[in-house]
Amino acid sequence: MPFFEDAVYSEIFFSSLYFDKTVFDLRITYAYSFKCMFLMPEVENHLDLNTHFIKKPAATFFVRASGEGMRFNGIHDGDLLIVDRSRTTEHRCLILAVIQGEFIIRRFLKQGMRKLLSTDHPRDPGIEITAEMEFEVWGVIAHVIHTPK
Amino acid sequence: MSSTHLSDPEIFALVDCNSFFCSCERVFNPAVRKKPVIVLSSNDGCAVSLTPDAKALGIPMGAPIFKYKDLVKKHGIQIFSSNFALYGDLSSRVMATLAEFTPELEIYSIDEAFLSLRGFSSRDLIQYASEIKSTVYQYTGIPVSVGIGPTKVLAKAANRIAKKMGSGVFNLTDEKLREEMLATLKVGDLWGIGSRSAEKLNRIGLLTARDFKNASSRTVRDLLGVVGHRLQEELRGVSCLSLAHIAPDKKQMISSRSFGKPVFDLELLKEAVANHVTQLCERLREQKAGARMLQVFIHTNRFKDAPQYFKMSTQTLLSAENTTNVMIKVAFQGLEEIYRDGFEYKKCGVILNDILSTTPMQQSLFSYDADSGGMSQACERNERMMEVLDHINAEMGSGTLKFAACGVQSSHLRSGRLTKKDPEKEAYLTWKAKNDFRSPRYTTAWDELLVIGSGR
Repeated sequence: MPFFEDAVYSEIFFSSLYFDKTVFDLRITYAYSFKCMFLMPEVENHLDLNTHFIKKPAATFFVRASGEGMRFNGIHDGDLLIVDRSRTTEHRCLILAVIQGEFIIRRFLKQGMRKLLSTDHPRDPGIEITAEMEFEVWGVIAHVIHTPK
Repeated sequence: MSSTHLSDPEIFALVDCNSFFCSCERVFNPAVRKKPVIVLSSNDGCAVSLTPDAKALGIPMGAPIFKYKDLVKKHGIQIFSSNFALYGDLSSRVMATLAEFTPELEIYSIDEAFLSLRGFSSRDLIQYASEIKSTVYQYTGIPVSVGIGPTKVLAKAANRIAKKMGSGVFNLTDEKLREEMLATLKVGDLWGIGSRSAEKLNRIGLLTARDFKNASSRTVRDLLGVVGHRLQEELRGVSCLSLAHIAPDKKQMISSRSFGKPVFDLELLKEAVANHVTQLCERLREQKAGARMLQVFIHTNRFKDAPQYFKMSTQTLLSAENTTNVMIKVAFQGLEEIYRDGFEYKKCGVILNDILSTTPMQQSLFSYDADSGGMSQACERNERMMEVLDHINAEMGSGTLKFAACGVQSSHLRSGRLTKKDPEKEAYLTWKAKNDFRSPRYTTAWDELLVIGSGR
């Protein structure tokens, strides 16, 4: 790797957050019950969304959904998707996939030996995955975070 | 993993990412996975990372891309400007994943790491290496190559072979295989052998890595000194370089700058280092923090056809320090250790690690004065002086007061903006301004996330 002029890259590289297990600056609020503190002094941990939603920080990515095309999958415009690449794709997983170089979100279905992708639309029988599709799973959608408008 | 005893021989794996910056760009952009990709440096549009297919088109590393504009257009080469936020983040992920595979990890650079695989039997090594490779790809989308050997140099050589063979993993622990495969590497392909050294070796008939390994130690020592001798020993399976134990840092600060005109003198390097230390210590004091590890690095211009030298010294301190004069002294010690006469230095820098808050500050035994019941007088005086210094600089502009070590006339340290304009570079900058090739910061900026879906 060439070592070139800009010092910025090493600054960011070395702040390896993943070793610490505090991954993102996603320190949203944590719930803390003061009443409980007096009644039950054993209550120790705050509720932390990071550890709750993210099991494998190194393999977890955030992605934004656009449009209503995936509403049958339970995903709406503007939703934040937490994608976990470390999970194995199983029957009925919602996945972010790549087909012929394009990103796509579908539900993965296994019917015996066949593998299908479905939009969950009541009239969608599902498309079978073929070699021509150059299909690849990018990651399993672990959580969908919807912010009501 | 089988239980490990220190009596087991050391086994190193060198894992490095293939065309790292290019691979990073491909993670969120599958459309360019099958196309040649080049990533450019931010300053002047030189190719800093190329995929093998881009290299095959004849574009060399470090080439100013403007000169190859037509080739780019003709072959549909995808060009990207450096996206450091993305590369740094993906690198962290790769390293965190590698850390799952070994108790001892040395992060060597943004895209390379050494792992200790001590305790694994030969039979399991390739299997394990394949597991590492597939897991890193699954988790992060970055393809890597793994080379295994009983020494670091051999692990690096194995990695090179793994890339050449296309398998992505290779194991050089077996002596017979080593003998056979080292013949396929040129001496210049070896880690630590630059073009000058390669030339010297070629002149006396040592062309392949195998030739070099089997040459007489005396000849090698005479020709390349103790460094060459160590390399040879490593090739022979005798480990001279151990894993540097770099604990994961909570925080780090870096100050570094390239020189406008290359620097040979130690005194000038000292001045630059002193300035870097001053800046960093100011930041530390602002944050009410101190550092316990100081690293100084110097290196030559990699893209220039001249002898190469890159070295970094590491100093650890007993207690967290943030006083400039103490840190300058420590930095100078480090610099003197690594400085070698005769090289054209292009850049130097100072890195502070292991940064702790100074409230409450842990006092080392040396600064603790039992009689006075607190910090020693010298230490206290120092701190007060720093307070005054900071106050004056804040009132009258930074740099008003600084240590003499920082130098009075530092015009030579400014980057060469006073040189005459390069018309080609100007043309490139105009072209670049019209086409911003930087990809979104997919993993570090909320409003630059990958967007999937219908209506955009």
